[in-house]
Amino acid sequence: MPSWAPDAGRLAVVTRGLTKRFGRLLAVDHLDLEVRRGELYGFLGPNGAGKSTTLRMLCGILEPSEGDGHVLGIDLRRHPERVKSSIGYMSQRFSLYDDLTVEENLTFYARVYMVPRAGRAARLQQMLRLGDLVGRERQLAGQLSGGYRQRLALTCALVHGPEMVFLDEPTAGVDPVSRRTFWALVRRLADQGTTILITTHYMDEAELCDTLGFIYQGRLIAHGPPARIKAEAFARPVLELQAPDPRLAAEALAEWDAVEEVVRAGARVRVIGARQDLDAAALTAYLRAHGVAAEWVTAVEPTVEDLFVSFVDRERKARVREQLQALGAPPA
Amino acid sequence: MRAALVVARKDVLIYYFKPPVVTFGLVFPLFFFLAFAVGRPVPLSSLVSSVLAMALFFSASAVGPLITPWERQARTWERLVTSPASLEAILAGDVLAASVFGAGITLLPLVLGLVVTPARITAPLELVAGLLLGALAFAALGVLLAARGTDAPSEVMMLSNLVRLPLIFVSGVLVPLDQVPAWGRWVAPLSPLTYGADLLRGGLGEARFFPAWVDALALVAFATGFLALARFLHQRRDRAA
Ligand SMILES: Nc1ncnc2c1ncn2[C@@H]1O[C@H](COP(=O)(O)OP(=O)(O)OP(=O)(O)O)[C@@H](O)[C@H]1O
Ligand SMILES: [Mg+2]
Repeated sequence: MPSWAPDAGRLAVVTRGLTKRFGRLLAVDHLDLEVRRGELYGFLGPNGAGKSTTLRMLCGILEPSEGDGHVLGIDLRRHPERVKSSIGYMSQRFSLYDDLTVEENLTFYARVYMVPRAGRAARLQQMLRLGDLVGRERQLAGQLSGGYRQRLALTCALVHGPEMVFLDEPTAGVDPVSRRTFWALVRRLADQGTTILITTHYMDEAELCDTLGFIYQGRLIAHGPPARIKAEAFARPVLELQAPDPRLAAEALAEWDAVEEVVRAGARVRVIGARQDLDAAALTAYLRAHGVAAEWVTAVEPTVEDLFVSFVDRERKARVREQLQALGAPPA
Repeated sequence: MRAALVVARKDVLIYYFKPPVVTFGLVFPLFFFLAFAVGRPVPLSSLVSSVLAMALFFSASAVGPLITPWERQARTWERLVTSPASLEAILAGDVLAASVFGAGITLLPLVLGLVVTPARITAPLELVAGLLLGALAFAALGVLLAARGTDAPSEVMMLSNLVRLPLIFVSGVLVPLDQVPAWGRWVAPLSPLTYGADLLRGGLGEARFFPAWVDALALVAFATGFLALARFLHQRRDRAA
């Protein structure tokens, strides 16, 4: 018997101390993850944070080095095979058989996932409609454009009607219109009750999720609904300014202790405050005092990207503090 | 096991039905046949079994080593192992497709041999057993060669030839086993081709070196051993890293 009983009625994914080591590299570090049934869970983190590794453990293809996990109430360690037949998986860079047609790809996965022969034809039609692939049945998957490949990969993951799907960066390298279409599709699936765990680097996509989990260096550093994360965990001002010489402005601001983070985007500079009282007037005054011109300065809504930058930053600071304490130095 | 059939069907559709693969598969045995036949003092009919054995060996183990590396590169492998199809079923499917391809291709030199040489089938059961069990063992070898380390197709091809050529040389296909030096007779049993060729010889009425049941058993043992090793190697790679 497992030493802990996950609330399988409510939770689709529960992990306790889930860990993966590759040699000396700690790719996933004692992760405690909870995904509720029927929710759209966004899994965010920089490159190499351990997102794909976590997903691959949850899909039953990678054995955890330590810790436990349950997916749809099934023990990952004891029944990885049973996990496989109840979930759908779309791997990073949609793996399709390029030399098979759209229909052959779908048929192949329908067979592998043992979709009963009786309902198969109807199911395939339904999938073709879902992925907006009607009329392209005979086209080779290798000849499809990015958006179609992406939707074909999704429909292949859904063909057996899984209760839960894992989507690993499904929108990477796809044009903005296809991205939007894809997210509308994903949102609809979630609203119809499918649990979805999705990873992405796009922060505009993250805002469409019910819950976000931020992973950094294999650890879950923050999680919750996007709105709550914004409101509670991030009560700092974000400002944007435009300057004739944005590089100069950014450099000057980076020196200031009222500023936590400066990000340049073209002619604009985005500033995350370290103090509550940082506002447009204070910032303008600071710049003027340092002889830097600004065309305008304005307060803006924090985006999930700002959140992420700030979490990563805090986390980094916390680690440095830990290390200093371990060395016996007084905390900074 | 239905999954194995599905995988085999996919393999045939994608990897075996390509014109170059089929052409190569057909031309290769013919080439062998000519290369052997030209300038030999022995009667043509006694070469048929050797050519069959080589054609079977080459065709059944030709594509297998490349399938998994290709699929790993295209990430369809990862997709496949996430599906309920077990690793055993996937490997069985690969072996099945390769066996069917190998045995099918080998029918051509067989028919040709029966038409243009005096060779005749004297023991159909042995011939069929040689074809099927041989195809199975050689296909399993191909699948095993796909399981090791690297995914770069060129390196896999190198490895595959590095392994397959010696297996041909020691097998008694090129030189009959009763004519090789003593050490040759010691290493010959290490090659699955030895037993496949032996059964085919028996099927065409030539002298066998081993009893037929030994040949058959050895081929089954090789197939099982190769598959078990392939499964172990894949498992070690997938589950741990
Ligand atoms: N099979 C493997 N063997 C060794 N190291 C690995 C393996 N797979 C991943 N890693 C390492 O583990 C760490 C986490 O990788 P992972 O792919 O999970 O990150 P990710 O969050 O998905 O990143 P990305 O956004 O780039 O996809 C990385 O440092 C990576 O190099
Ligand atoms: Mg990844």
